[in-house]
This record gives sequence, C-alpha cells and structure tokens, in this order.
Amino acid sequence: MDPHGDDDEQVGDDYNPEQEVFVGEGQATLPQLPVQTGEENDEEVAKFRAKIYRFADAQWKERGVGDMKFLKNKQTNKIRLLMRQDKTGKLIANHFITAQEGFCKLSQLKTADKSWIWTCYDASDEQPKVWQLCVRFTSPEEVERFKTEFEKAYDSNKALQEEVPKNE
Amino acid sequence: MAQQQQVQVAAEFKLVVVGDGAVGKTTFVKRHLTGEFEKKYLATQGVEVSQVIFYTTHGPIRLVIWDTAGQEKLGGLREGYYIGANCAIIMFDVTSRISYKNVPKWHKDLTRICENIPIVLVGNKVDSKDRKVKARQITFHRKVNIQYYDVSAKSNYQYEKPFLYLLRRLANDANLALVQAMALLPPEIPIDPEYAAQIEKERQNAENQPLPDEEDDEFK
Repeated sequence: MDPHGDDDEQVGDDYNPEQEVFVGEGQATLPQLPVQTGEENDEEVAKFRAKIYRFADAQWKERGVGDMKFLKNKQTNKIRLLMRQDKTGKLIANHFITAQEGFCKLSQLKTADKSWIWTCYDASDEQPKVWQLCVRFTSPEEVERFKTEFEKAYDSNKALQEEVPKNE
Repeated sequence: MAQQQQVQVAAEFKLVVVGDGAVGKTTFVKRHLTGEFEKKYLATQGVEVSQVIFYTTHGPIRLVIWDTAGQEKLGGLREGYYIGANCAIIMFDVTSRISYKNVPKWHKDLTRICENIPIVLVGNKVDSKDRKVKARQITFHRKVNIQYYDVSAKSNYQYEKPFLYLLRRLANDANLALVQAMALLPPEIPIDPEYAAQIEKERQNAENQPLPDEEDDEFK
C-alpha cells in the first residue's frame, strides 16, 4: 500500500472508480420483509413537489426535497400532511392539519416568496415535537394550489372536530 | 407530552466515519440526520454519536454513527472509537489532494482494529469547480477491495449511495433497496392559550428569518 502510488497506476480511459465490488456470498443475513408505508388506510387528496425547512436554533434549516401529500384517512376522514425525502424515503413531515389555536395557520415569509410557514405537532422524527415548518415551491401556481388544499383540509378537519361532541 | 413512537428495527449496526479534518464528515452525517446543510466549520472533538434509521426491503435498520474527529489534536480516543464497528466510511475531499493521500493511513488504522468489516471510500465535495483529485487518480480502494463513491453533501449527489452499499453488505444481499419509511398516524397534543401565544411570538420571529440560500429550480 504505497500512498504515493496512486498517480502512477495506469488506468484505462474507461476507468470507473465507482464500479461495484460486492464481495458477499451465500445467504442473506437479514431476511426480506414486506414493505409497509403506513398509508394503507389513506386516500391521496393532493400532491406537490416541494422543499421543506424547519425552524431550529433561531434559523431556517433545510429538511428535504420530495413529494408532499395530503392524505385522508378512510376511517376517520381526517387529513394529514405527509412528506418523504427523495432517494432515502425518510419521513420529513408527518402531521395532522389540526384546527387548534396557534396551529396550522398559513403565513408568508417576509424574506422569500413562493413559500408558506405554519406551526404544527410533527412526528417525522422518532420524537414528535412542535415545529415551525416552511414549504417552498417553484411556481406561483403551486403556491396558490397549496394554500387552497391546506385551507380546505383545515376546514374539513375542523368540521370533523366539531361533529364529535354531538355523537357522544 | 412525549409520545415516542419507537421504531421496531430489524437490526442495528455501528458505523464509524473517519478521514482528515474538514473533509465534510459531520456535514454529511447531519445531512442524513436532519436534512440541513451546515456550512460553518466546527471541528469535531473526539467523537459525536448519532443514530439514523434507514428503511429497506429488509426492514428498518438502525445505524449508530460514530463521527470521529479528523484533526489529529482533537482525536480523543482515536482507534478506541473503532472497537466494535460493523462498517465504516472513509471520507476525503476531492478538492484536497492531501486528504486523499492520507486515505491509506486511515484505512490501515481502521483495519488494524476492525479486521473484516465492509468499508466504503467516499470522495466528498464533487460539486466544487475546484476538483483536484480526478476520477482516474482514485485507485487506492481497488488495492484493498473496497467500494468507492463520489458524493456531495452540498448538492446531495449520491448521498445515499455509501449507506446503501454498506446496508447491502451488512444484510449480505446485493438486492437490498431503500423503501418508503413507515408513516404511522401522527399523534396530536392539546394547546392551552398561553402556549398558543408563545407559538405566535415564535412564528412572528421565524417569519423574518431568511431561508438558507437556494436555487429555485433544483427540485422540479
């Protein structure tokens, strides 16, 4: 292992340093399992390409890029906002659009256009927490469409909430 | 208020991340942890341990990531952190020749403690126009039969590849793939008026803060 040998080695023009070197053999040590998305009882209401941010340590921080979905639960009819990160499939937003004081009211960032912010109790991390989220889109049309869908979901969830006492 | 939704994982492994100082180890790990891209350089002292769950065709797999100090004077227990590692990432910076020259040293130190673990060599900052270590100069990994990937923690180019490779090796299945994470129905909490007022104040503050600088069309 000569550390100075790298430049000397002759490699062809088609050399690809990323060529896969999978050296495993025999049986898998972990069995394959069926994939559960957790959306089995949901119906998709709307979908957006978006980038989201979270407010932490007094600044906006990128959370990820991916498909953001509004999902309506088939049993309760309650709508949640769900987003997964491209490539890794990790959760980057997962919360109900709840009609609660201080929660889920859209407002515009004073420092950037094509974006909305709101507060929610988000469970995309293992530990759910109250977060301020910011979503950014690439077109003004999407900004408007998001607002429409978000507010529709808010109103729909609010109506469900008000129904409950009557049934009890 | 804490309603922890502990994820049932299929397996848990220890991953050590090594390489010269300032090549981007901590930034790369943070990118996977929270999504953020940290531009400020704050040298890691000793080690920072964090956990990331990857959702795979073989179930959720928890990686306990030991992000070690690259700077010699901040090395802490050094090789002591390698003990018990199941896999490793050796990172260098493609804009720094010396960080690539030091890769054999990191590899030697690592394999002295961990004899036969899957290792992936990662060249970070490939988004830079100032690339010094070209693809055809990256050959060390072939001598020791480990995998290599170009990545960029800044642009997210191939940022999942090193993990995917290690997970495939750990499960001993080249067909392992990343899948959509299980999204349970999220919990809700009650809000009292006092807390609502506090939230409103925080929102007003957040409203005036800038987003980290971004290009508009990168996620179409």
